[in-house]
Amino acid sequence: MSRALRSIAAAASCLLAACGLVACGGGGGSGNSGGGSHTPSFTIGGSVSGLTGSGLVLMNNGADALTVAANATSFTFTTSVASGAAYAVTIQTQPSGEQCTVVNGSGMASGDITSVAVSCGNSVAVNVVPGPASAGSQTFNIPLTSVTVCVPSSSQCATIQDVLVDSGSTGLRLMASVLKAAGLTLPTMSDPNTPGNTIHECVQFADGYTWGAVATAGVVMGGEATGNPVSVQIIDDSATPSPAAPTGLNGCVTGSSLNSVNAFDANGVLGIGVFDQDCGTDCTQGAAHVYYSCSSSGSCAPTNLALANQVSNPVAAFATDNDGVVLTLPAIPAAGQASANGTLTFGVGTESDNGLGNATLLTADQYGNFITNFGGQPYPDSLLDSGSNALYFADSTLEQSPCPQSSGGAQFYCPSATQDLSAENQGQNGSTSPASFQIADLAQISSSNFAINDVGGPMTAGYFDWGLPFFYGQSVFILLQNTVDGGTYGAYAY
Amino acid sequence: MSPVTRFRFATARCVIRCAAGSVCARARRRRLAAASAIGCALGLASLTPAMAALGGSADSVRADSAALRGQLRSTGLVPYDVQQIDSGSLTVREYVTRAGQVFAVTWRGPLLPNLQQLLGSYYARFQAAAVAAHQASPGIHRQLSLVRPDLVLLSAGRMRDFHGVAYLPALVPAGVSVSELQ
Repeated sequence: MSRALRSIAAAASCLLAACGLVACGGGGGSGNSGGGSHTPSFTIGGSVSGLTGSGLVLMNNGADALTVAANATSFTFTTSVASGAAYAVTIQTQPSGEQCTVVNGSGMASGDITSVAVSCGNSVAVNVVPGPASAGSQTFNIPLTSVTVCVPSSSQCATIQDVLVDSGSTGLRLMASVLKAAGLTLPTMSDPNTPGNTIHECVQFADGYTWGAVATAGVVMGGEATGNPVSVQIIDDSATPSPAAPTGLNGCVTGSSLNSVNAFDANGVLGIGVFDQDCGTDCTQGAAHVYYSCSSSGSCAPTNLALANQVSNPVAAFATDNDGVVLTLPAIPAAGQASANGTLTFGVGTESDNGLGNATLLTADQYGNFITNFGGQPYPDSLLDSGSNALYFADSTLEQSPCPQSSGGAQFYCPSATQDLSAENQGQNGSTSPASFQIADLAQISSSNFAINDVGGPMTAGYFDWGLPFFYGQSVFILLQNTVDGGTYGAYAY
Repeated sequence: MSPVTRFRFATARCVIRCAAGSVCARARRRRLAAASAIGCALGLASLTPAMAALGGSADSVRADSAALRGQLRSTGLVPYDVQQIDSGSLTVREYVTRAGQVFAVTWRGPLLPNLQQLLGSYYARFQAAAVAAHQASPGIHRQLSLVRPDLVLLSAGRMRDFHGVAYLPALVPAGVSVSELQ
């Protein structure tokens, strides 16, 4: 078969297989056809991140195998493609010891392509820095990372920066305005019970709520990628949310609307807590005011939603390293630090970099809590909560020293002298582990320090919320429920 | 008519008057053994129970609890009664003075109770405090503290585990410690 006919045959097989955006079988890169015409051709390449192992082999359109060396930061295929021709970059062979994923790997070459991203490894950077809220509205102890989201079953992806890493919640939530700015539209979930209706979600917090559509997305972080799409919440941070958040007896509106980047000092929330879904069985029956079925005219009513459709933990849906995470932040001085840089590692005990080592495993109860023993009394409902910016616990002495309004007022403690305190944490499995901490006078800590390890505040009785101060200077493991080590309700280890 | 409205005044929620300081009052997350005996209708997570509001009269709740009234009586050990309302896995407690006024409310459950209903005329204060905290200290959503001479409110938790307390210092009976409010 002549070269020209072979190219046509390859193109036809692509169309028949409806594989416009994915790798076409057979047919190599179609360079210039024989004869005198000069069709422009373009190179196909892109970036590589996190590649520490050797042996990675990429292919374009199922051919043109390219070996990428360890620690490479970019790649380019040797064979160009004709202008307008399809390209599809895939992984032929994974490197030794780690996993890579291709993002933005397919398209049509209308110029030299440098946008393919090969993302490797089981960890991503986490930075405690001033967040994306308006200047002057940023707050301390907000751990931020980047998350890549993709339209399901496509290579259309966008990387969203400055997403809050939250071990106290479950599920990925992104501000609609940020997705829009990234040029990505994720498909809204249809109501399986009512044709024409879509699913929206109201998520309550202690001080307010978020409201927005439930959508489906592929999630990629480092070399980890979800095998099947997961449900995520798109927080409607437009001036006039549509449909509007329901009010009244069946309503969502309670407290302050948190539908904004400013509310979280982040572009979204990556909930990587112990549970698989954000609501669970409380939302599979009855009509809790969490999930809503909304008509095209904007009328919304509470509905229940099967577990498989609820907003869920992206880590649980990763193809590999999916049983939990490890959050590691450096130690910082008592006076605080301008910022801190650490890592979020995927998997617990699945790779050489995420073993428990001598960390003590504390299993959680049905609420996702363990017991903290402090000051001679039990706080039966406690958790390790990276999405909380202080150590929140009731203490009759510290409650006598609330901070001045300029330092947060009654939300924080401001003792005149730094307190050296210690507690013991106890899992449902009976294992115990000590925890020492300090509570300093927040008013004395520089307001340009966004990493602070000794800030505390009040909480209802019986609860000890170990916020980000707990995480500095150690590796903290969050084990998902329904895993071997996580047990029924998940576990924490440090 | 929404399902919630239709059932609002049915005996579809469990109201138990407890003697403060009794085992009934100290139970935190367990269903009360007495509740099972009385046959409270539990597991109705979709319904907002009829509740007296903070600072309001408890009479409206008592009127609806005719079927349960008299099962548990206050022994007079402490100068208040506790009315517990269970709706699915949400537990709301209303602390009532002898004069029948709700001086404190607490809540615990995987989802928030209807705070507009529970806090009554004080809901606007909660709303304002939430907005003010959001502006003063953004990024804090695990707890909201409001401490004023006439109202103390602490809303805390996250989905799967909310808990809170609100009380009116002026109405707290003499000798009662706020640590008893759980």
